[in-house]
Amino acid sequence: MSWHGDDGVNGQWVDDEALARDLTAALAEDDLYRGIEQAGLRAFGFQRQLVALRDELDLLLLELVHDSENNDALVAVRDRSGTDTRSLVFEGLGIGVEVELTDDHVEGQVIPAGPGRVMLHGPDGVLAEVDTDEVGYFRVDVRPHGPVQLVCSSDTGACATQWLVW
Amino acid sequence: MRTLCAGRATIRHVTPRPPHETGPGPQPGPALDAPAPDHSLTALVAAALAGDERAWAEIVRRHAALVLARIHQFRLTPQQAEDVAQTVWLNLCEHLGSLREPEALPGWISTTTRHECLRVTAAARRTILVDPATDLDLAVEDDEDGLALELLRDERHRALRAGLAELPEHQRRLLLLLSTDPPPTYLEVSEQLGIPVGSIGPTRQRGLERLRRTQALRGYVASSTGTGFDAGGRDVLAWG
Repeated sequence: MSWHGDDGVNGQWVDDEALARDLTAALAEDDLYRGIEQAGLRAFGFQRQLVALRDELDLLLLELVHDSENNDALVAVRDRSGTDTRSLVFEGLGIGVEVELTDDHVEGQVIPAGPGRVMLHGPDGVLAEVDTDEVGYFRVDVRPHGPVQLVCSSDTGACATQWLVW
Repeated sequence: MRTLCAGRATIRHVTPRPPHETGPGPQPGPALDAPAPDHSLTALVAAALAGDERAWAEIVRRHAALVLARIHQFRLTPQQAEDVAQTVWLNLCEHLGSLREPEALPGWISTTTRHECLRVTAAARRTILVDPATDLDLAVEDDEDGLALELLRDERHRALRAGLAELPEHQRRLLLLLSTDPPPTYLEVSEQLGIPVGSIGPTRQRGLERLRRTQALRGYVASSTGTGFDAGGRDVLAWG
């Protein structure tokens, strides 16, 4: 059989057990592979809605410029109450959002400060929506997991943060 | 609780955005109007930007293996892997319009996926508080060779799945069932498929033999024994 031995053809399946093991690995990956494709297909539909919103509001995309989890990735930050917090800063042209995540809520401030509205988006739609006060502060009592985008709007402009796993 | 209010000293000052200034939002550049071959990335990106969902689906299909290969370089949980994939695709949607060179898309996807993987693994590490002295991330260095191996492994696995689909029903069902992890006992297999325990071994053997002769695996072997695999590469793949 040309499949066996060191004949230069596919040495990784030297016997049935090797082939069966590889088949198991291949099948185990099928779900992940399909999941990745499905995530891609879903992203488009949701994003098209945002594109419409963006055209309407002239949405500016903000990039992540600080993530406490990555800058001091190996050191846990604990506040006085003993819970983990993670701070994120997003910035674009003249607009910024600073966010702090704890176990059970999200709070933050939109800069420049001013009243407005903040929407928390997940891949499947809006997770939460709340007004910001006169200094741009907001708080929502949800702790999203998975990819999140923050869309902020006020009299001075509108912005959306890049997608990030919170 | 308003710890983030104006009184907080650490909030950085950001210059207010002048009303006349607009951001470099995703707008199709002039290059996208240029004629392009129908299935080039340039054409697909232009079509996706115009709202063509099938063009987007093709972009996703072409790059899903790359995302998967990157994910394999990190030990992610299924949930983390899904988060990373979603984040990459959603950000790609955002950036599609500002890509100046659509042919650079694979590079963008590769880099972005790696960054997201690093991010979620950093987050997980922080949560479980692993000793940083002993668990500095080995994958922080970009491992291009490792990525190439992952892509080859993925190609082989796709060939195996395609080959399995070519098998007759009874062999396919048996191999599928035996490939679950952990594998069922022969007794369980016998009950589930309604076949005698004594026939499982021989059917499995014939199925695997037939799998090797499927179009998918023959095609894979024919292409992988060509220029892509030198002796060294095959040695590395042997344990991959």
